[in-house]
Amino acid sequence: MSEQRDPRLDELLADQAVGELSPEEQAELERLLVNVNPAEATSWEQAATAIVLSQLPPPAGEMPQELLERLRSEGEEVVSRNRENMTEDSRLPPKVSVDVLESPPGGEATKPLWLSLAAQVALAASILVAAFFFVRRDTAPTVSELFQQVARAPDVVRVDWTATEHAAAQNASGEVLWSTEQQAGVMVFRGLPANDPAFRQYQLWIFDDTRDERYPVDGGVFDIDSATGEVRVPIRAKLAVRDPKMFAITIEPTGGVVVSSREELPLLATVPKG
Amino acid sequence: MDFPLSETILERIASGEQAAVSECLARHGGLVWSMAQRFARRREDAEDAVQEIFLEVWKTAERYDPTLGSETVFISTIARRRLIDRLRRAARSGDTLPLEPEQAPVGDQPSDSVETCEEAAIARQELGKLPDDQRRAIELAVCQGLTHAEVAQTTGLPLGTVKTYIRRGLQKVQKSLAARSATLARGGGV
Repeated sequence: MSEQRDPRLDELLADQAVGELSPEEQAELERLLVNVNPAEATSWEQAATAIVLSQLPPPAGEMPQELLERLRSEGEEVVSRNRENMTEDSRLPPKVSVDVLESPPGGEATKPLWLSLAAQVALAASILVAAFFFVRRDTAPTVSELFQQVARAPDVVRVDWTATEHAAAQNASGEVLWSTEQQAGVMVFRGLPANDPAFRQYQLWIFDDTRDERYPVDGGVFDIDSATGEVRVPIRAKLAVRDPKMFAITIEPTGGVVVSSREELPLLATVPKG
Repeated sequence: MDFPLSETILERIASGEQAAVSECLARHGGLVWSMAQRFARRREDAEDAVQEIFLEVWKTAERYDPTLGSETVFISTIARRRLIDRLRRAARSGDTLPLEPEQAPVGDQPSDSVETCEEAAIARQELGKLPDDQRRAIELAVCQGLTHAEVAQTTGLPLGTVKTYIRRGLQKVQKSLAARSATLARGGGV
Protein backbone atom coordinates (compact mmCIF):
# COMPACT_ATOMS: atom_id res chain seq x y z
CA MET A 1 0.00 0.00 0.00
CA SER A 2 1.56 3.31 -1.04
CA GLU A 3 1.96 6.00 1.59
CA GLN A 4 1.20 8.90 -0.74
CA ARG A 5 -2.13 8.13 -2.32
CA ASP A 6 -3.32 9.93 -5.41
CA PRO A 7 -6.85 11.15 -4.56
CA ARG A 8 -7.85 11.10 -8.23
CA LEU A 9 -6.79 7.45 -8.50
CA ASP A 10 -8.92 6.58 -5.47
CA GLU A 11 -11.85 8.45 -6.96
CA LEU A 12 -11.59 6.58 -10.25
CA LEU A 13 -11.12 3.19 -8.58
CA ALA A 14 -14.20 3.80 -6.44
CA ASP A 15 -16.24 4.78 -9.48
CA GLN A 16 -14.97 1.75 -11.39
CA ALA A 17 -16.05 -0.54 -8.56
CA VAL A 18 -19.65 0.61 -9.03
CA GLY A 19 -19.44 0.60 -12.84
CA GLU A 20 -19.52 4.36 -13.25
CA LEU A 21 -16.50 5.14 -15.44
CA SER A 22 -16.87 6.79 -18.83
CA PRO A 23 -14.45 5.60 -21.56
CA GLU A 24 -12.36 8.76 -21.01
CA GLU A 25 -12.17 8.11 -17.27
CA GLN A 26 -11.29 4.49 -17.95
CA ALA A 27 -8.39 5.60 -20.12
CA GLU A 28 -7.29 8.03 -17.40
CA LEU A 29 -7.45 5.24 -14.82
CA GLU A 30 -5.38 2.92 -17.00
CA ARG A 31 -2.72 5.63 -17.28
CA LEU A 32 -2.67 6.14 -13.52
CA LEU A 33 -2.54 2.39 -12.86
CA VAL A 34 0.68 1.89 -14.81
CA ASN A 35 2.81 2.35 -11.71
CA VAL A 36 0.38 0.86 -9.22
CA ASN A 37 0.27 -2.63 -7.77
CA PRO A 38 -2.57 -4.52 -9.53
CA ALA A 39 -3.80 -5.60 -6.10
CA GLU A 40 -4.67 -1.97 -5.44
CA ALA A 41 -7.26 -1.92 -8.21
CA THR A 42 -8.66 -5.29 -7.15
CA SER A 43 -9.05 -4.16 -3.55
CA TRP A 44 -11.74 -1.62 -4.42
CA GLU A 45 -13.84 -4.19 -6.24
CA GLN A 46 -13.37 -6.53 -3.30
CA ALA A 47 -14.60 -3.82 -0.96
CA ALA A 48 -17.75 -3.45 -3.04
CA THR A 49 -18.20 -7.22 -3.03
CA ALA A 50 -17.75 -7.38 0.75
CA ILE A 51 -20.50 -4.77 1.11
CA VAL A 52 -22.84 -6.86 -1.04
CA LEU A 53 -22.06 -9.93 1.05
CA SER A 54 -22.60 -8.01 4.26
CA GLN A 55 -26.14 -7.10 3.21
CA LEU A 56 -27.16 -10.33 1.54
CA PRO A 57 -30.41 -11.65 3.00
CA PRO A 58 -30.74 -15.36 3.78
CA PRO A 59 -31.42 -17.41 0.63
CA ALA A 60 -35.09 -17.43 -0.35
CA GLY A 61 -34.73 -21.06 -1.41
CA GLU A 62 -32.30 -23.68 -2.62
CA MET A 63 -30.82 -23.52 -6.08
CA PRO A 64 -32.98 -25.66 -8.39
CA GLN A 65 -31.61 -29.18 -8.64
CA GLU A 66 -31.75 -29.11 -12.42
CA LEU A 67 -29.61 -25.96 -12.51
CA LEU A 68 -27.18 -27.47 -10.04
CA GLU A 69 -26.79 -30.55 -12.23
CA ARG A 70 -26.27 -28.39 -15.30
CA LEU A 71 -23.58 -26.39 -13.52
CA ARG A 72 -21.86 -29.53 -12.30
CA SER A 73 -21.83 -31.15 -15.71
CA GLU A 74 -20.63 -27.98 -17.45
CA GLY A 75 -18.03 -27.39 -14.74
CA GLU A 76 -16.60 -30.88 -14.99
CA GLU A 77 -16.39 -30.56 -18.75
CA VAL A 78 -14.60 -27.19 -18.61
CA VAL A 79 -12.23 -28.33 -15.86
CA SER A 80 -11.45 -31.46 -17.82
CA ARG A 81 -10.77 -29.35 -20.91
CA ASN A 82 -8.50 -27.13 -18.81
CA ARG A 83 -6.56 -30.22 -17.83
CA GLU A 84 -6.24 -31.30 -21.46
CA ASN A 85 -5.03 -27.83 -22.36
CA MET A 86 -2.48 -28.04 -19.58
CA THR A 87 -1.28 -31.34 -21.00
CA GLU A 88 -1.20 -29.83 -24.45
CA ASP A 89 0.65 -26.80 -23.13
CA SER A 90 3.30 -29.02 -21.60
CA ARG A 91 3.70 -30.91 -24.86
CA LEU A 92 3.40 -28.05 -27.32
CA PRO A 93 5.26 -24.94 -26.21
CA PRO A 94 2.88 -21.95 -26.18
CA LYS A 95 5.15 -20.17 -28.57
CA VAL A 96 4.54 -19.79 -32.22
CA SER A 97 4.49 -22.78 -34.53
CA VAL A 98 5.72 -22.02 -38.01
CA ASP A 99 4.60 -24.07 -40.96
CA VAL A 100 7.76 -25.17 -42.73
CA LEU A 101 7.96 -26.56 -46.25
CA GLU A 102 9.69 -29.93 -46.47
CA SER A 103 12.99 -30.00 -48.32
CA PRO A 104 12.97 -32.22 -51.41
CA PRO A 105 14.91 -35.49 -51.00
CA GLY A 106 18.13 -35.80 -52.95
CA GLY A 107 21.56 -37.49 -53.25
CA GLU A 108 20.21 -40.89 -52.29
CA ALA A 109 22.37 -42.82 -54.81
CA THR A 110 25.65 -41.56 -53.43
CA LYS A 111 24.96 -42.64 -49.84
CA PRO A 112 26.73 -45.73 -48.49
CA LEU A 113 24.65 -48.72 -47.37
CA TRP A 114 25.03 -48.06 -43.63
CA LEU A 115 23.61 -44.57 -44.12
CA SER A 116 20.60 -46.03 -45.92
CA LEU A 117 20.03 -48.44 -43.03
CA ALA A 118 20.37 -45.62 -40.53
CA ALA A 119 17.87 -43.63 -42.54
CA GLN A 120 15.44 -46.55 -42.47
CA VAL A 121 15.81 -46.86 -38.67
CA ALA A 122 15.24 -43.14 -38.34
CA LEU A 123 12.19 -43.40 -40.57
CA ALA A 124 10.77 -46.24 -38.46
CA ALA A 125 11.35 -44.18 -35.31
CA SER A 126 9.66 -41.18 -36.87
CA ILE A 127 6.66 -43.34 -37.81
CA LEU A 128 6.39 -44.46 -34.17
CA VAL A 129 6.54 -40.86 -33.02
CA ALA A 130 4.00 -39.86 -35.64
CA ALA A 131 1.73 -42.72 -34.53
CA PHE A 132 1.94 -41.46 -30.95
CA PHE A 133 1.01 -37.95 -32.00
CA PHE A 134 -1.72 -39.28 -34.23
CA VAL A 135 -3.34 -40.98 -31.25
CA ARG A 136 -3.03 -37.79 -29.26
CA ARG A 137 -4.42 -35.60 -32.02
CA ASP A 138 -8.01 -36.07 -30.92
CA THR A 139 -7.37 -33.88 -27.92
CA ALA A 140 -4.48 -31.72 -29.05
CA PRO A 141 -4.51 -30.63 -32.67
CA THR A 142 -1.45 -28.98 -34.14
CA VAL A 143 -1.69 -25.33 -35.10
CA SER A 144 -2.15 -26.27 -38.76
CA GLU A 145 -4.96 -28.66 -37.88
CA LEU A 146 -6.55 -26.06 -35.64
CA PHE A 147 -6.32 -23.56 -38.50
CA GLN A 148 -8.12 -25.96 -40.85
CA GLN A 149 -10.72 -26.82 -38.21
CA VAL A 150 -11.53 -23.15 -37.50
CA ALA A 151 -11.39 -22.16 -41.18
CA ARG A 152 -14.02 -24.79 -41.96
CA ALA A 153 -16.35 -23.81 -39.10
CA PRO A 154 -19.73 -22.55 -40.38
CA ASP A 155 -19.58 -19.55 -38.04
CA VAL A 156 -15.95 -18.62 -38.75
CA VAL A 157 -15.09 -14.93 -38.48
CA ARG A 158 -12.12 -14.13 -40.73
CA VAL A 159 -10.66 -10.61 -40.68
CA ASP A 160 -7.43 -9.09 -42.00
CA TRP A 161 -5.13 -7.29 -39.60
CA THR A 162 -4.96 -3.53 -40.02
CA ALA A 163 -1.56 -2.02 -39.25
CA THR A 164 -1.44 1.03 -36.99
CA GLU A 165 1.35 3.62 -37.07
CA HIS A 166 3.34 1.61 -34.53
CA ALA A 167 6.84 0.76 -35.79
CA ALA A 168 6.28 -2.97 -35.31
CA ALA A 169 3.42 -2.84 -37.77
CA GLN A 170 5.45 -1.36 -40.60
CA ASN A 171 5.64 -4.55 -42.67
CA ALA A 172 3.07 -6.59 -40.79
CA SER A 173 -0.01 -8.19 -42.28
CA GLY A 174 -2.09 -11.32 -41.89
CA GLU A 175 -5.49 -12.29 -40.59
CA VAL A 176 -7.36 -13.64 -37.61
CA LEU A 177 -9.83 -16.50 -37.63
CA TRP A 178 -12.31 -17.16 -34.82
CA SER A 179 -15.16 -19.61 -34.31
CA THR A 180 -17.48 -18.80 -31.43
CA GLU A 181 -19.05 -22.23 -31.64
CA GLN A 182 -15.67 -23.90 -31.20
CA GLN A 183 -14.36 -21.18 -28.88
CA ALA A 184 -11.16 -21.43 -30.85
CA GLY A 185 -9.17 -19.31 -33.23
CA VAL A 186 -5.85 -18.79 -34.95
CA MET A 187 -3.90 -15.64 -35.77
CA VAL A 188 -1.80 -15.47 -38.92
CA PHE A 189 1.07 -12.99 -39.18
CA ARG A 190 3.48 -12.00 -41.90
CA GLY A 191 6.26 -9.51 -41.24
CA LEU A 192 5.62 -8.96 -37.55
CA PRO A 193 9.02 -8.35 -35.93
CA ALA A 194 10.50 -11.00 -33.62
CA ASN A 195 10.33 -10.14 -29.91
CA ASP A 196 12.76 -10.89 -27.12
CA PRO A 197 10.64 -13.06 -24.78
CA ALA A 198 12.90 -12.18 -21.86
CA PHE A 199 11.59 -8.62 -21.96
CA ARG A 200 8.53 -8.24 -24.12
CA GLN A 201 5.72 -10.33 -25.53
CA TYR A 202 2.83 -9.77 -27.85
CA GLN A 203 -0.64 -10.05 -26.27
CA LEU A 204 -4.01 -10.51 -27.94
CA TRP A 205 -7.18 -8.77 -26.70
CA ILE A 206 -10.66 -9.68 -27.90
CA PHE A 207 -13.43 -7.12 -27.62
CA ASP A 208 -16.69 -8.98 -27.10
CA ASP A 209 -19.92 -7.13 -27.84
CA THR A 210 -21.68 -8.96 -25.00
CA ARG A 211 -19.16 -7.69 -22.45
CA ASP A 212 -18.21 -4.35 -21.03
CA GLU A 213 -15.90 -2.81 -23.64
CA ARG A 214 -13.58 -1.60 -20.90
CA TYR A 215 -12.61 -5.19 -20.22
CA PRO A 216 -11.57 -6.97 -23.41
CA VAL A 217 -10.94 -10.69 -23.06
CA ASP A 218 -7.28 -11.62 -22.70
CA GLY A 219 -6.42 -13.77 -25.72
CA GLY A 220 -3.01 -14.85 -24.40
CA VAL A 221 0.60 -13.82 -24.86
CA PHE A 222 2.80 -15.13 -27.64
CA ASP A 223 6.23 -14.78 -29.20
CA ILE A 224 7.37 -14.26 -32.74
CA ASP A 225 10.62 -16.04 -33.53
CA SER A 226 11.21 -14.65 -36.97
CA ALA A 227 9.67 -11.87 -39.00
CA THR A 228 10.14 -13.81 -42.22
CA GLY A 229 7.55 -16.21 -43.52
CA GLU A 230 4.05 -16.86 -42.26
CA VAL A 231 3.48 -17.48 -38.59
CA ARG A 232 0.34 -19.06 -37.11
CA VAL A 233 -0.54 -18.64 -33.46
CA PRO A 234 -3.42 -20.34 -31.63
CA ILE A 235 -5.74 -18.03 -29.70
CA ARG A 236 -5.95 -18.82 -25.98
CA ALA A 237 -8.93 -16.79 -24.78
CA LYS A 238 -9.14 -16.71 -20.98
CA LEU A 239 -12.92 -16.25 -21.03
CA ALA A 240 -15.73 -17.28 -23.33
CA VAL A 241 -16.07 -14.98 -26.35
CA ARG A 242 -19.62 -14.79 -27.64
CA ASP A 243 -19.68 -11.93 -30.11
CA PRO A 244 -16.22 -10.68 -31.09
CA LYS A 245 -16.21 -7.20 -32.57
CA MET A 246 -12.49 -6.43 -32.57
CA PHE A 247 -9.12 -8.13 -32.06
CA ALA A 248 -6.12 -6.10 -30.95
CA ILE A 249 -2.44 -6.93 -30.53
CA THR A 250 -0.47 -5.03 -27.91
CA ILE A 251 3.16 -5.29 -26.85
CA GLU A 252 3.52 -5.89 -23.12
CA PRO A 253 6.12 -6.84 -20.52
CA THR A 254 6.90 -10.57 -20.46
CA GLY A 255 3.98 -12.57 -19.13
CA GLY A 256 1.42 -10.03 -20.30
CA VAL A 257 -0.79 -7.71 -18.27
CA VAL A 258 -4.28 -7.81 -16.80
CA VAL A 259 -5.12 -4.30 -17.98
CA SER A 260 -3.26 -2.94 -20.99
CA SER A 261 -2.26 0.70 -21.25
CA ARG A 262 -2.74 0.18 -25.02
CA GLU A 263 0.25 2.43 -25.62
CA GLU A 264 1.89 -0.06 -27.95
CA LEU A 265 -0.75 -1.39 -30.27
CA PRO A 266 0.59 -2.48 -33.66
CA LEU A 267 -2.34 -4.42 -35.11
CA LEU A 268 -6.13 -4.31 -35.07
CA ALA A 269 -8.78 -6.41 -36.77
CA THR A 270 -12.32 -5.06 -36.70
CA VAL A 271 -15.12 -7.49 -37.43
CA PRO A 272 -17.56 -6.01 -39.95
CA LYS A 273 -21.07 -5.58 -38.52
CA GLY A 274 -23.80 -7.95 -39.56
CA MET B 1 -13.52 -18.38 8.46
CA ASP B 2 -13.27 -19.82 4.97
CA PHE B 3 -9.60 -19.33 4.21
CA PRO B 4 -7.95 -22.69 4.78
CA LEU B 5 -10.53 -24.90 3.06
CA SER B 6 -11.76 -22.55 0.34
CA GLU B 7 -8.45 -21.66 -1.21
CA THR B 8 -7.77 -25.29 -1.98
CA ILE B 9 -10.97 -25.76 -3.97
CA LEU B 10 -10.08 -23.20 -6.63
CA GLU B 11 -6.52 -24.46 -6.78
CA ARG B 12 -7.83 -27.96 -7.35
CA ILE B 13 -10.19 -26.73 -10.05
CA ALA B 14 -7.29 -24.91 -11.71
CA SER B 15 -5.28 -28.11 -11.67
CA GLY B 16 -8.09 -29.97 -13.43
CA GLU B 17 -9.64 -31.96 -10.57
CA GLN B 18 -13.25 -32.62 -11.54
CA ALA B 19 -14.36 -33.57 -8.02
CA ALA B 20 -13.56 -30.04 -6.87
CA VAL B 21 -16.42 -28.75 -9.06
CA SER B 22 -19.05 -30.38 -6.85
CA GLU B 23 -17.32 -29.13 -3.72
CA CYS B 24 -17.21 -25.61 -5.11
CA LEU B 25 -20.92 -25.72 -5.94
CA ALA B 26 -21.77 -27.13 -2.53
CA ARG B 27 -19.79 -24.43 -0.81
CA HIS B 28 -20.54 -21.38 -2.94
CA GLY B 29 -23.58 -22.29 -5.04
CA GLY B 30 -26.09 -21.06 -2.46
CA LEU B 31 -24.31 -17.74 -2.09
CA VAL B 32 -24.18 -17.09 -5.83
CA TRP B 33 -27.81 -18.14 -6.17
CA SER B 34 -28.77 -15.65 -3.43
CA MET B 35 -26.86 -12.88 -5.17
CA ALA B 36 -28.49 -13.70 -8.49
CA GLN B 37 -31.95 -13.64 -6.94
CA ARG B 38 -31.13 -10.32 -5.36
CA PHE B 39 -30.10 -8.70 -8.65
CA ALA B 40 -32.23 -10.48 -11.23
CA ARG B 41 -35.85 -9.63 -11.82
CA ARG B 42 -36.95 -12.99 -13.15
CA ARG B 43 -36.08 -16.50 -12.09
CA GLU B 44 -34.87 -17.47 -15.57
CA ASP B 45 -32.55 -14.42 -15.58
CA ALA B 46 -31.13 -15.56 -12.25
CA GLU B 47 -30.53 -19.05 -13.63
CA ASP B 48 -28.79 -17.72 -16.74
CA ALA B 49 -26.67 -15.42 -14.61
CA VAL B 50 -25.61 -18.22 -12.27
CA GLN B 51 -24.57 -20.31 -15.23
CA GLU B 52 -22.51 -17.45 -16.69
CA ILE B 53 -20.90 -16.78 -13.32
CA PHE B 54 -19.79 -20.33 -12.70
CA LEU B 55 -18.53 -20.71 -16.25
CA GLU B 56 -16.25 -17.77 -15.54
CA VAL B 57 -15.24 -19.29 -12.20
CA TRP B 58 -14.19 -22.58 -13.84
CA LYS B 59 -12.19 -20.72 -16.46
CA THR B 60 -10.47 -18.22 -14.20
CA ALA B 61 -9.83 -20.35 -11.11
CA GLU B 62 -6.11 -20.27 -11.86
CA ARG B 63 -6.08 -16.51 -11.30
CA TYR B 64 -7.19 -16.81 -7.69
CA ASP B 65 -4.54 -15.48 -5.33
CA PRO B 66 -5.30 -16.31 -1.67
CA THR B 67 -3.08 -13.48 -0.48
CA LEU B 68 -5.47 -10.95 -2.05
CA GLY B 69 -8.66 -12.17 -0.40
CA SER B 70 -10.83 -15.15 0.37
CA GLU B 71 -12.22 -17.49 -2.23
CA THR B 72 -15.73 -16.37 -1.30
CA VAL B 73 -14.86 -12.79 -2.25
CA PHE B 74 -13.13 -13.93 -5.46
CA ILE B 75 -16.24 -15.79 -6.62
CA SER B 76 -18.63 -13.12 -5.38
CA THR B 77 -16.67 -10.41 -7.20
CA ILE B 78 -17.13 -12.31 -10.46
CA ALA B 79 -20.80 -12.70 -9.59
CA ARG B 80 -21.35 -9.05 -8.72
CA ARG B 81 -19.62 -7.82 -11.88
CA ARG B 82 -21.67 -10.17 -14.05
CA LEU B 83 -24.94 -9.36 -12.34
CA ILE B 84 -24.44 -5.61 -12.58
CA ASP B 85 -23.46 -5.92 -16.25
CA ARG B 86 -26.63 -7.87 -16.92
CA LEU B 87 -28.75 -5.43 -14.94
CA ARG B 88 -27.37 -2.40 -16.78
CA ARG B 89 -27.64 -4.11 -20.16
CA ALA B 90 -31.23 -5.09 -19.48
CA ALA B 91 -32.06 -1.58 -18.32
CA ARG B 92 -30.47 -0.11 -21.48
CA SER B 93 -32.34 -2.44 -23.79
CA GLY B 94 -35.54 -1.85 -21.85
CA ASP B 95 -36.49 -5.52 -21.73
CA THR B 96 -36.22 -5.77 -17.97
CA LEU B 97 -36.85 -3.23 -15.27
CA PRO B 98 -34.15 -2.78 -12.68
CA LEU B 99 -35.06 -3.73 -9.15
CA GLU B 100 -37.28 -1.26 -7.40
CA PRO B 101 -35.35 0.00 -4.38
CA GLU B 102 -38.18 -0.68 -1.99
CA GLN B 103 -38.49 -4.28 -3.13
CA ALA B 104 -35.10 -5.35 -1.92
CA PRO B 105 -34.22 -5.16 1.74
CA VAL B 106 -31.75 -2.37 2.26
CA GLY B 107 -29.27 -2.79 4.99
CA ASP B 108 -31.26 -2.01 8.10
CA GLN B 109 -31.39 -5.62 9.16
CA PRO B 110 -27.80 -6.81 9.31
CA SER B 111 -28.81 -9.48 11.78
CA ASP B 112 -30.78 -11.16 8.99
CA SER B 113 -27.85 -11.24 6.63
CA VAL B 114 -25.89 -14.32 5.76
CA GLU B 115 -22.55 -14.60 7.52
CA THR B 116 -20.41 -15.38 4.51
CA CYS B 117 -16.83 -14.44 5.29
CA GLU B 118 -14.70 -12.20 7.40
CA GLU B 119 -14.58 -9.51 4.71
CA ALA B 120 -18.38 -9.24 4.89
CA ALA B 121 -18.22 -8.83 8.66
CA ILE B 122 -15.66 -6.03 8.25
CA ALA B 123 -17.83 -4.30 5.65
CA ARG B 124 -20.89 -4.56 7.86
CA GLN B 125 -18.98 -3.04 10.73
CA GLU B 126 -17.79 -0.12 8.59
CA LEU B 127 -21.24 0.48 7.10
CA GLY B 128 -22.67 0.52 10.60
CA LYS B 129 -20.52 3.54 11.45
CA LEU B 130 -21.87 5.63 8.56
CA PRO B 131 -24.76 8.11 8.69
CA ASP B 132 -28.04 6.66 7.38
CA ASP B 133 -28.05 8.74 4.19
CA GLN B 134 -24.56 7.68 3.24
CA ARG B 135 -25.18 4.03 4.02
CA ARG B 136 -28.32 4.02 1.93
CA ALA B 137 -26.53 5.63 -1.03
CA ILE B 138 -23.85 2.95 -0.89
CA GLU B 139 -26.31 0.11 -0.60
CA LEU B 140 -28.34 1.34 -3.55
CA ALA B 141 -25.25 1.68 -5.74
CA VAL B 142 -23.28 -1.33 -4.61
CA CYS B 143 -25.91 -3.87 -3.58
CA GLN B 144 -28.55 -3.01 -6.14
CA GLY B 145 -26.46 -1.74 -9.04
CA LEU B 146 -28.13 1.67 -9.33
CA THR B 147 -26.14 4.34 -11.14
CA HIS B 148 -25.07 7.50 -9.30
CA ALA B 149 -27.86 9.40 -11.07
CA GLU B 150 -30.44 6.78 -10.09
CA VAL B 151 -29.28 6.89 -6.48
CA ALA B 152 -29.62 10.70 -6.51
CA GLN B 153 -33.10 10.39 -7.95
CA THR B 154 -34.14 7.71 -5.46
CA THR B 155 -32.76 9.41 -2.36
CA GLY B 156 -33.27 13.06 -3.33
CA LEU B 157 -29.61 13.76 -2.56
CA PRO B 158 -27.57 16.00 -4.89
CA LEU B 159 -25.54 14.01 -7.43
CA GLY B 160 -22.23 15.37 -6.13
CA THR B 161 -23.12 14.31 -2.59
CA VAL B 162 -24.04 10.83 -3.81
CA LYS B 163 -20.68 10.44 -5.54
CA THR B 164 -18.79 11.62 -2.49
CA TYR B 165 -20.78 9.41 -0.13
CA ILE B 166 -20.19 6.33 -2.24
CA ARG B 167 -16.49 6.98 -2.84
CA ARG B 168 -15.73 7.69 0.81
CA GLY B 169 -17.79 4.76 2.08
CA LEU B 170 -16.08 2.36 -0.29
CA GLN B 171 -12.72 3.76 0.72
CA LYS B 172 -13.40 3.06 4.39
CA VAL B 173 -14.22 -0.57 3.67
CA GLN B 174 -11.27 -0.87 1.28
CA LYS B 175 -8.88 0.47 3.93
CA SER B 176 -10.18 -1.89 6.59
CA LEU B 177 -9.84 -4.85 4.25
CA ALA B 178 -6.34 -3.74 3.26
CA ALA B 179 -5.38 -3.55 6.93
CA ARG B 180 -6.68 -7.09 7.42
CA SER B 181 -4.71 -8.35 4.40
CA ALA B 182 -1.58 -6.69 5.74
CA THR B 183 -2.10 -8.43 9.08
CA LEU B 184 -2.53 -11.78 7.33
CA ALA B 185 0.55 -11.18 5.18
CA ARG B 186 2.58 -10.55 8.33
CA GLY B 187 1.35 -13.86 9.66
CA GLY B 188 -1.10 -12.25 12.07
CA GLY B 189 -3.99 -14.11 13.63
CA VAL B 190 -7.15 -14.85 11.74
